[in-house]
Amino acid sequence: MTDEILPAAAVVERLTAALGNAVIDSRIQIRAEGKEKRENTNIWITIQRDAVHAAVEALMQIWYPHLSCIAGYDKGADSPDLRVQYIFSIYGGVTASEYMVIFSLNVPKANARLPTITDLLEGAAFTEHEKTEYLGITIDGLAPAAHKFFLPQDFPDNVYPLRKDDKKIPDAMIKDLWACGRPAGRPPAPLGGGEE
Amino acid sequence: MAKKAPYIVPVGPIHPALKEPVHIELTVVGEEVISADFTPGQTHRGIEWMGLSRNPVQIVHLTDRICGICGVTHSLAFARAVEQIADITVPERADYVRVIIAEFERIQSHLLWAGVAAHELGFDTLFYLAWRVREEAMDAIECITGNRVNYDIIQIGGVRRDITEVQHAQIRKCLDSYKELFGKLKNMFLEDAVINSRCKGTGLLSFEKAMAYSTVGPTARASGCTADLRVDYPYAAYGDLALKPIMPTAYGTEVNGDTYDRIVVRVFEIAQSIEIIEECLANMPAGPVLWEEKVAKILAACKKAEGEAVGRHEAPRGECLHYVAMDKAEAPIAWKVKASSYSNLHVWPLILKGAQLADIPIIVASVDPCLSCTDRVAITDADAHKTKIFTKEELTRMSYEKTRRMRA
Repeated sequence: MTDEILPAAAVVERLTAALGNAVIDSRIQIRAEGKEKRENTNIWITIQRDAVHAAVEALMQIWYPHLSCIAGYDKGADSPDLRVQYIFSIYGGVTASEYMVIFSLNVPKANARLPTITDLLEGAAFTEHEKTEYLGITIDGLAPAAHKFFLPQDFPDNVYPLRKDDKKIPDAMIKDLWACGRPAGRPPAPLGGGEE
Repeated sequence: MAKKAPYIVPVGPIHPALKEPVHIELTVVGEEVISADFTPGQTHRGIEWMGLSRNPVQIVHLTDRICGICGVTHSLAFARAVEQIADITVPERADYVRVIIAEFERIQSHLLWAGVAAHELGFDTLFYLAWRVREEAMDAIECITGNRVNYDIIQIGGVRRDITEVQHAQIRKCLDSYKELFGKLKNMFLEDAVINSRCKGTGLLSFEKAMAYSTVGPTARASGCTADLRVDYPYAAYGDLALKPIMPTAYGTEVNGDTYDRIVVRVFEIAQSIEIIEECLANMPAGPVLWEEKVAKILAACKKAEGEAVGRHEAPRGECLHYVAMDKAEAPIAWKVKASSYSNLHVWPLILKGAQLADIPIIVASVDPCLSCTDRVAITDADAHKTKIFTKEELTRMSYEKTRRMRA
């Protein structure tokens, strides 16, 4: 780790050099807001699933990163893949220098597993548990939790709220409040009219 | 109750006075906490799931309702993500309105927290004072947005209401009264002997752990991390301002990473927010506040959009991040909400370790959790499976008694 602030392109170069063929593509997205249009930078890198641990390690060589969270979604009921984003930022704490570094990767539903990164960043456990609960991704090397962190404790097994395939929330679990109508057994409204 | 230690103390999950429920389980020996575990997710509402069947303009209104305190945080982060995907340029004036309302939100959120903290310590007069003066920020917010909570002011591509000259008088009145009050508030919170001795050295979070757990906002800054999105990652009108992150050193103290430092950071951030609002009001550029007034046209632009983006905002509690992916459809294909407390709650087991039972309320509150905590406390004996139910009042009473003992 150095104290030098690298330009975004150099960060991409360093990560690409470290990961080799595992980098599928990369892009730098710049947004400028306000009167002075000072820029903020997001680096998006698509990598192979197996390279995720190495990618975080390579990022840590550049700067001690901040892990915002691991996001993820189901690419569709017909798609064989889930897509997961490791959302980091580096150079946090240095005025107007912070870059987001986002590693995206496909995880096949048939073998939904990812390695833990808690050996590198202790605090990642919380968001890794979330991926297990919401998307059904098994995190290898993560100590199993005694309870669920994000869903109710009595939430059924093998149902994952953010899945869109056969493991999605069944219709029976969805409550349409608008369809409930007026609850039975309630006293009549104090003033006549208004409600049927 | 059996006499064998350690005892398991479950706290929560419901307390109606606080914001959201959480369940905390403490293992105690005598008065000392030896380990802690927590279970959030007591009110999983499926908001992200709901968003996947709605269009971005509808989701903006949904984001307003994620949190009752952060009425602009989530909608701003979400709107910024969608604007990047659809390549929408926000008018400069809208960036300023966004910052002004976000800073008013910080003032009211920090004052709300200060009141809660005072209450947890047994200082109910200070609690009433903090919540009374918070009303002025709420009135200013109502003056700008029309609502006290759920402001609904953010729209994709700008804001839905402008700040006109007529409103300046009330906003200034609010700011002036806070400036007058600030010295008094600062003395009450930071000079009080009992607050000092109860908060200094409790709930310690080291710099290393704050970094390893990726904590955000005042919780991270109190531990010495200089991270503040408004400074590090210029967005909206923050890039036009010369800002510095508020650290515990603002009060001339060393960085200790304790509960007291978290109070220092929040109290001084109130003063910083007042300055930001004044500067923004003075330098607001003229022009429209919306990229496009017709909602149908905003929706049409969103429907053509393809790609993914993250929108971030420094909320009162720290970084709030929304990840959105769109694929030329009415609804986004992915929407992930990372609230600020998501990055802070998981340090509870660290900072509660070694704490005294009576200090639990203030330590739990010190990270400003956007969750409720202590409603019912049941002291369970792990061997005998017998449970004695303590109420939130009893736990708070223990905290009060400790304060009284120290005053005597």
